Amino acid sequence: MTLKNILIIIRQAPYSSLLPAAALDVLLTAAAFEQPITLLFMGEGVQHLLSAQNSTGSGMKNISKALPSLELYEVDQVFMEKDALANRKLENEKLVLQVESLSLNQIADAIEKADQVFNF
Amino acid sequence: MQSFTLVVFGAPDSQSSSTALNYAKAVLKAGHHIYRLFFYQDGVFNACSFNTPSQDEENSSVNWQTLIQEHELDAVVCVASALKRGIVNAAEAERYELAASNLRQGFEISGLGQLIDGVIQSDRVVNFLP
Repeated sequence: MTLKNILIIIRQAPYSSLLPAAALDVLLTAAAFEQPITLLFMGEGVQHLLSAQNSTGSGMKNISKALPSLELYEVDQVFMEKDALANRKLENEKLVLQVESLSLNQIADAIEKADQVFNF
Repeated sequence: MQSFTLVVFGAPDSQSSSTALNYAKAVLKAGHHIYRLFFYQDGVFNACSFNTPSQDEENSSVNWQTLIQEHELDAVVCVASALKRGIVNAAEAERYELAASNLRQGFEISGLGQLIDGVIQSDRVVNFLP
């Protein structure tokens, strides 16, 4: 099977739209097709990494719960935009998953290297 | 020649849907191939056959259907998005004991796997976000 390097970028805040949940669905489907996947949280999207979330009453799925188990689907390339947490004074918050930070230049490289980018 | 998969996230009347439709026409006019149209989230409303806008408005559902049928395009509607929004074909209507089916002819209901297949098989996948 042809392999495509798929980069999925989540930029929307949790519970702000259906797009982050769609991103996770696309990611898990791509993983089932054994495609190489990179997941990147940028901008408001970094808030998905915060562990102190209570989705009760939002009527929406808490997709952050699924993030620690991504490794089981062999999705181990998970990154966040450098300084995005610090810019929101969230750098000392507990995260659901420890991920490496990428500078904007490194993000540009990742986009360049990807065969397909999904920007959610 | 390049092959394209287009992903439509927006409902009829949205910029997402109308831009995707114009883009699809431009792709075909330029001699490229559309491997698949994938209707996702609110985009599934483009596949509803019950859409009846006023006479002075475009019916983008019909416009999509015309393009699909003229060029024999593969037009897939995401099953989870569709069921959630009440877009069903005859088989789903029967399974869920619904009063009617409303999937417009030319469209078919299938899973998200068809989107990833589009990624694998096409040169480019272009997303039209809401």
